Amino acid sequence: MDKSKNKNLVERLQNGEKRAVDELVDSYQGMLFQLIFRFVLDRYESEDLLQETFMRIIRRINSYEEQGRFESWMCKIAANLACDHLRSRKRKPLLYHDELETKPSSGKDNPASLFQEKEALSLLEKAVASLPWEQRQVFLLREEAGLSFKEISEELGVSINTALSRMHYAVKKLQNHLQRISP
Amino acid sequence: MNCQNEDIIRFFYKETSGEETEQIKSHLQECPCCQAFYYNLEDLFLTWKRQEKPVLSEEFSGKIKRKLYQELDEQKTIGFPWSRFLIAAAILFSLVLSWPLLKFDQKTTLPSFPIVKTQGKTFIFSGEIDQLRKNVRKVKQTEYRFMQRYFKKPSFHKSIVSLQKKTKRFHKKLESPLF
Ligand SMILES: [Zn+2]
Repeated sequence: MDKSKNKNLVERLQNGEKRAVDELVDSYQGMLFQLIFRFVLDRYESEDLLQETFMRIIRRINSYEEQGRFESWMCKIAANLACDHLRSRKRKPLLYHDELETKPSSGKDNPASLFQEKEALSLLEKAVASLPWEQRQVFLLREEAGLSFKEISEELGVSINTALSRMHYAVKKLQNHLQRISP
Repeated sequence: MNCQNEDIIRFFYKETSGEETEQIKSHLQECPCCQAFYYNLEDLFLTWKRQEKPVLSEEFSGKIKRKLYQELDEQKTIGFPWSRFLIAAAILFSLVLSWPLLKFDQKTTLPSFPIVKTQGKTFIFSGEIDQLRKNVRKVKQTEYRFMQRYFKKPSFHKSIVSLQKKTKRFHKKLESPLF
């Protein structure tokens, strides 16, 4: 969604228009759900958190200032909730992929390459899930929430260099995983 | 420029300044290590982007929307200026009530009530003790304002708590035969 459309959407939300709520949910539920899910790795918890995210967006819509992108503002809220949630629930074993309803990825017709691709994706997903929490957090905030390293450092209360070095470790580990499956 | 993978990462995300960007670009052209790192980074993120996306059911988004409508309605009722209006009215009312106690002495420009002991200092003012006795509650209110005005405590809450203690002592004194 472009900037002027978002501005209009925010104004309509601030005026309490119900149609604007529909538009908000339809446009952003996918993006926010994906972000939360990558953190939490549990469908039901992610759904609860998504609902809470939208509630917060509505409650705080009047305090939204047009400094940053509306998307990043929402992503911050979602990521914040997801991080708080993970902090409060002591890490539980990751049992996620099987129960997830997913859209098939497109484009690959060859069954062999399709299989390889699926395997790579699933391994990457598992590799991300198995990163140390601090690295995973930075990786997801950058990749899924689209926050800059400056924003991430503010969000986590660490220096930019710390955030970058966590990202670096994460990337190195993930690259190793990828190289193992596609030599 | 040294080989700094962190810089390459920032470059990849377009978070480098103009000058830095140029430096990294030219470094990438001559350094196979950083080049390899950069291409691996691209690979990694392309693969990550191709991941299957979790999908929400229509039913679920309907549920969210209904909750949000409710929230909007609640906000509208809260947002109505009634609350502010009521607070303003309450302040005005209490001011009117306590006005006789807030008469200012022209010379000292201090409120006219007898003794307030605070921070080890005793302040003595002229005032009608009988009226104060009758209006113990109002006295308290006046004192709060007095405290806020003359002692400018950093935290309002703290000043209230300490004032409550002082007010108790103050009222005990009022009861004593001295007055
Ligand atoms: Zn280099």
